[in-house]
Amino acid sequence: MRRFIMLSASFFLCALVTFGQTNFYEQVSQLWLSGQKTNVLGIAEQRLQQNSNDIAGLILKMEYQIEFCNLGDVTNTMQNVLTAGSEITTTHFVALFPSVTGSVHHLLTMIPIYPTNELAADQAKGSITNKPLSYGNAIKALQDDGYFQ
Amino acid sequence: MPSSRLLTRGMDGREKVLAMNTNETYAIEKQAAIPVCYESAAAAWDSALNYSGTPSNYYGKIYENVGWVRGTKSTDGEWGAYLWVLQNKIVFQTSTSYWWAITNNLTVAITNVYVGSLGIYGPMESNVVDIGPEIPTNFPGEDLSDTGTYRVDITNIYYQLVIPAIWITPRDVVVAVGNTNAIRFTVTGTNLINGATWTLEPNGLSGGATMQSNCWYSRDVYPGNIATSYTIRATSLDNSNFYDEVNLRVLKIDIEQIETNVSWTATSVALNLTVDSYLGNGTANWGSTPSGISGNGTDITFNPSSHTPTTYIVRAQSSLLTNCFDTCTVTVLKVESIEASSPVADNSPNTFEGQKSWPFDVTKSPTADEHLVVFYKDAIDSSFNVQDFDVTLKANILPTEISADQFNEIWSKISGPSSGSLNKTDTFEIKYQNPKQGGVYRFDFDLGLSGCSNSEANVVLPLAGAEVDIIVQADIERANTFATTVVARYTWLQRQNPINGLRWFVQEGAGDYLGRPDNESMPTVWVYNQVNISSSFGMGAVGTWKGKPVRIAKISNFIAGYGVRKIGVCSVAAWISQIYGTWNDSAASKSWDAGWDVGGGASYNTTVIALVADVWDEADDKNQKLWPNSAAADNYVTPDSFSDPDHEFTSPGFLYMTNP
Repeated sequence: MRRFIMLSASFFLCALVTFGQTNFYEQVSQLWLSGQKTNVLGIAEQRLQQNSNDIAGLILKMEYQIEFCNLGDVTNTMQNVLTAGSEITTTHFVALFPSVTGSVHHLLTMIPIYPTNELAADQAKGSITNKPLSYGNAIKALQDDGYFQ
Repeated sequence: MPSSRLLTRGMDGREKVLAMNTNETYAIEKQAAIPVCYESAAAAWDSALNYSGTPSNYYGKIYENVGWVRGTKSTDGEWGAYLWVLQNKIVFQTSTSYWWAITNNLTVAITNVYVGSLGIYGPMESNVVDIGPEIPTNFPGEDLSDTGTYRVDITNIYYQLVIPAIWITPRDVVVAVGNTNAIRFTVTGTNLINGATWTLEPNGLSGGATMQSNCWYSRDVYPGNIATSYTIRATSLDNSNFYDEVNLRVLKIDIEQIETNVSWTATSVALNLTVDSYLGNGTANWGSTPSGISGNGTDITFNPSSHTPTTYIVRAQSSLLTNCFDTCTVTVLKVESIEASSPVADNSPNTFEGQKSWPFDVTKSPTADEHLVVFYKDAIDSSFNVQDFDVTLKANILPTEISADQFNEIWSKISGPSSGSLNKTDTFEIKYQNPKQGGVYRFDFDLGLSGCSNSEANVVLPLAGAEVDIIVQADIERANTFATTVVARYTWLQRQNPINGLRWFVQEGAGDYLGRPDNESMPTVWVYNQVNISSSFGMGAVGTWKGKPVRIAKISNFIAGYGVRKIGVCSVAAWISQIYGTWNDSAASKSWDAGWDVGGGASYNTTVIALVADVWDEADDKNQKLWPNSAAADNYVTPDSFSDPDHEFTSPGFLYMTNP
């Protein structure tokens, strides 16, 4: 059963990265809600392998790193999101990006004061299912702009 | 007096017979005189005329063919003449009485007696002597002769009579009741030789007409005070069947109503004469000053609503007698308006059209029913104490000279809070004093006049939405549950993320109280407490929180501040969360801070009581106009069933999130 799932996931990832998608947002949201967050990270990394400035890949990677309290890497990813995002000029994303920027800037100020005594417990919360993507709206905006076609 | 006379002969079957004096009645024959040998015919004729021979009298004889024979004749140059005469001498009395009895033993006077061929004589002429025919004395001519033959008529006797009459004047008298002047009736006519007797019918009425004697031919009648028709009769003393009658009509016009007040809204009002009024054969003509009320007869009706409200002097006058009338006063009354005023009212004075109902529907907005409004902010001091104030209610009544003393007017409160009181109820202008509670006060004015519909006025101290304190306290518990869930599922960093904050506390009304808290028994007034039903759906209402009117949005700020703190957002992040999106005003920040403080352990009651007093001072005009509503909201629904902001009230959606 586990092998079957992994094969299915690999196929799914390949399909998501390789072909144009009109429901990219819905598919990654569903993966996230169902707890397949590693697969979402896999999708992000595959997109970044093809384009290290792929804004969708960067946002999903940042989402994963926040979810699992990967504080060592998330700061860099956040900076990349701010840089790559500012290059996007499509309508929907441009409209939404200020909220992403505000959020990221705010979290960058919060990370240094993260209460370390909560870190272990918080890392365990990453496996909790049925939580929506915090930045799902940004992925949705990219989809609405035809970014995944 | 009659102007003609009756000539009668045997009209009653009785022949008139001449009363003859047979001893003196006889025929007279004068012998013929024949003088001759005169030189002329004229001389011979004069001689014949002058002949005075002894006549032959035939007593007791009256011949039918009396007359004469005469002539002249010439013989041998000389002239002769002749004359022969036969006459009747009739001696008689024209009548044996001055009177002639006709029907019903009524005697009438004889003015003349027509005696056949003899001539016209007066009545009761005795020893009338008639000798005829007369001998013609003129010269007949030479050698001429002629004769005369006459037939006497003493059988066709006629009496010329006075037409019998009796006549009272004046004939038909009409006077007004109470007339103190006597009316003098005088009788004239025939057959009144011995005078007349007088009667008055009906007679002996208490206070009625009385008759006083002057002389036999006249009477003075005093009309008295009883209105009726009297018959006055004068009867000849000579014959009781010979009388005349005239009428005396004593009229009375007495209007039943003396001073009548009628309502302008009445459709029909009747005026009538009293039963003891008497119009004779006439009628009563009604009119008024000013004009407008009119008619004729014993009663009239009119429609006051078509008349100008004023006092009318109504006059009913006999059609037969101009000085017989009565007047009454009819006042057409109209409660023109009720004027409500107060020095603290926002729209003082406010005028309500009179004699109609003025219901007040709290849901009418933006055009409200008619009312005088007193806002909370204008009635309180800096410590929220409602100051004493009066609302003056004045009934404006037409005509303006009408006095309250004339009516049993009553003011009353139809509905409204049990607060304040009327200083009096029985005059046209009263005061409602010192209401302390918000609500809709409705007042009624009853003029106390039959048919006059009541008037109304509304004084509105607009209530804010109902008290939500119980709901907010329940929401504190819901917020605690929400926070526990969020803390268990999200990392510290995720809870600081404004993106998540937006999702939990802002987006899709997740952080807003929506709708308008209300209570069926103590409803808010929509026109002063509108809620958005299009953009900003469900926002904008003012409710009551801990006894103070407050914008619902401020309660949203409070509960959001509470929830944010409860999920462990650090203060810096919390502050940023406030400005993320719409900038909070000062009152909103204070509300947020109060929620933050309570979330951190501060006393809910102490904090909120201080908060609502504090933010009221800087609240907007809408907030400050509305009066505190002590009734708890009874229109609460959960967020998932909320759809009607006008009728429902709900909590922020985050409080009901099961999977935040």
